[in-house]
Amino acid sequence: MPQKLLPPAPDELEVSVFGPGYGESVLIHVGSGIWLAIDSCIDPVTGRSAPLGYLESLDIDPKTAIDLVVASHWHADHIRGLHELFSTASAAKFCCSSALCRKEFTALGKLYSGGKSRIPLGPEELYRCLETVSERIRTTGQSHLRWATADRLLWQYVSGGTPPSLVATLTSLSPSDSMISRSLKFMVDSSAAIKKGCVKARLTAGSPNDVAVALLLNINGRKILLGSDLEDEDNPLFGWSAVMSGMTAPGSRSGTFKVAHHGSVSGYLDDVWNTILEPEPLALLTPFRHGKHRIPNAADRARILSKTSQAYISAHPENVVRPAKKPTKIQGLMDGAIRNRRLAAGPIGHIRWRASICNPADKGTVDLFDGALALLDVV
Amino acid sequence: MDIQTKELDVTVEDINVVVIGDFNPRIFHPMWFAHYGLLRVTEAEEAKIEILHQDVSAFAISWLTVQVLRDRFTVGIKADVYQSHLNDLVQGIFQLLSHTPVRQLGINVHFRLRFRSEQDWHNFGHFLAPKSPWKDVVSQPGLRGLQMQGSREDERPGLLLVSLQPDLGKRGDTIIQVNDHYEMPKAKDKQRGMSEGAVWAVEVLRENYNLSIERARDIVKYLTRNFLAAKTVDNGG
Amino acid sequence: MTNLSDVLSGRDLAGRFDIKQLLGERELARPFSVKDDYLGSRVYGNTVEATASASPLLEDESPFILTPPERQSPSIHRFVKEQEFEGTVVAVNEDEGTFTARLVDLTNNCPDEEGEFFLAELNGDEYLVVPGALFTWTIGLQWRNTTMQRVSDIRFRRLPGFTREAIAKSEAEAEELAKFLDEQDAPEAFAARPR
Repeated sequence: MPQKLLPPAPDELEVSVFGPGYGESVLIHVGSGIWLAIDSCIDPVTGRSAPLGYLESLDIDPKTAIDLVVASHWHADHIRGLHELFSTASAAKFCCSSALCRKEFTALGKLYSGGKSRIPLGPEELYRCLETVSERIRTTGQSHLRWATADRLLWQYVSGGTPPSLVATLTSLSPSDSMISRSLKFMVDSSAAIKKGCVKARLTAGSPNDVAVALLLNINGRKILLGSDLEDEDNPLFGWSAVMSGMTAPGSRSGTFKVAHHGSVSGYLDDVWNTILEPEPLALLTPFRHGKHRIPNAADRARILSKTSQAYISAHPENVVRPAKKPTKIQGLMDGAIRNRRLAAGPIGHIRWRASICNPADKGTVDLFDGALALLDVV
Repeated sequence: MDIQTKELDVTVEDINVVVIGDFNPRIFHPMWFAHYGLLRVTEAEEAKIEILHQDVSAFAISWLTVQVLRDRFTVGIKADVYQSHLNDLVQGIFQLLSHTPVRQLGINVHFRLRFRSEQDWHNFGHFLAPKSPWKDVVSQPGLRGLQMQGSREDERPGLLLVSLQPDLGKRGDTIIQVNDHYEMPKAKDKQRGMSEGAVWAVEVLRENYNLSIERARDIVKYLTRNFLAAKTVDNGG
Repeated sequence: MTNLSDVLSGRDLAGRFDIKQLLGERELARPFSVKDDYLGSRVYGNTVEATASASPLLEDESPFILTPPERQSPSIHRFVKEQEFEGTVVAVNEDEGTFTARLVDLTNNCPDEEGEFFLAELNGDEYLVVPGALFTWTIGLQWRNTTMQRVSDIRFRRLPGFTREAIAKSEAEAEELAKFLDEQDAPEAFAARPR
């Protein structure tokens, strides 16, 4: 069987990062057939949520295998296909920033779920997830929602046996209270603009990202830091600075880092790399190719490579892929109207890291699929 | 009679929205539309104005016609490529004129079916209207028109009307009109908080315009598909 | 207001007519006598004034008798789509006179695309170009009057804003959902069950 289609062993952890150039999703096997999904992006070939397609290719049933879905924030590149993913994972619980459960956000989601556009914006995709959460709660009578805020234990697993062979925890590190307040202000301002009739186009994301949920996963003492799109502005109340100021003694450091905000300078804080990451951590990231934005740029890549040589990116951040030509009679007219026609995203791009749960010294192996490459090889 | 039908061509010939209410036709000058950003200024300036009068106004731009009588407002397109823009326009108009009394709304799609042979065309008529019941009533019975009424499966008062007639000027062609008719709920039926008038019309369009047009396409698709699958028709012979 | 004589020159519009026959059997706002009244208009320079008169008009003020026309056909009476995209503006590049857009291919099952378009080629839609704005881009065969040609048409959506009622309805439903979810925060971390 091809290597890609071999599922992880029960005592093997896996972190898979999907990113086709625009979009990011992280799928984690914590052991014992238990999977966690953070965000979703679309596989351009299948049009489906990338984590779903991958699990199905491994012959794993997402209905029962996925135990938790986390929406780290609502931006379009992290949210497309999330409702499909969460609806399919019918046993899964749901986590997102508490700000996104407030009426200020759900009203935006409800309004935009009228669906004028083919591409979901973000609020409506998340709104549909919250409706599904609500249905599951009403149907099962059980809790299915836990909000993510700074320093909150979201999820845990303790296997049987004495001592248990597997102990895993997932903790949210953000958003801080100040981030939540500021994000609510953005939502209130957006609603006010809509009421004035000022907004007729799609809602665009605010900056910086005040709802991003950074996560810390601990599997048998091995720590994995998942940076989402959390940014920093050198203010201890916001972003990574708030994470660092809120942390008690870090204890052991993380050996693996899903690099924040596509490796951009706004997602970087020296303190994170120096204090809570091991030296030469395994760094996994996805690019952001949107319009003229190309992240990580050369400076970003140099900065990351100065911290670790073990850095991998799911797709080339700058190479554009030309789409297939249309029939000549149509292509001619298109060429007259559009410049630099390119695919918005390339193939799905998949970085997969697997390591032994039982052996914390095992560095594991990294496999690269569908255009994923080492950051060192990006030229 | 056994038949073997070849594929037929179906094209959309007209999509229009008709609103019944109380209007002031005089205000519907193309530049009024441009002033409120409902149409391009260039299109408004080049509009062919048929008439502007307190009882009737009518004009056309390249892709759209507007006709307003005191009690009937009609906007339509011939090329369905402008389908979404038509919806935007009508919603925009009645959002602006939110106090306009409106009583009914129709979303109408006209199709032209072009059969590959005149025999297929006749057979479609036999399929929809079997001739055996007519053979002792009139000689050489032929279908001149058919109208079927149905209900939608939503909670909005109204009905669906499918009208069909052969185009006698173009033998081999049949016109099908699907009228999706919405009635503003009567006072006694209104639920608390339900919209009225122009606001109701905008809500209907926002929630149902695309559905109505898809439904119309589906109706024609089912009719033609069932016809193409038929092995026999009753031509009274 | 339009100068009707300019608009209607060349049309044969003389004579008295029956307004009820013209506009159908409807209740009209103003009652009138079929026999003697006629509704017409007088053109004064560039203005049009409606008249209703029981007496014959002076020869030099003969009214135009206006027949509401059957709906005219727009000049574009057919368009065969060969390629259609839905576009969303990602960014406006003022210095280059372009905007960047993301395109969803509505014709084929193809991945999304991006590209730059010229602001100057929008035929009056330029002011609508803001990040997030939607447009349709259609290429195909267009029949305009008697001429058929293949065209590329970019047309921005003039989206109606959300109505007060739609906003109020969304807010009410969203508040209900938010209130329910507010009470549903799991008191402890989720504990996964062994597989």
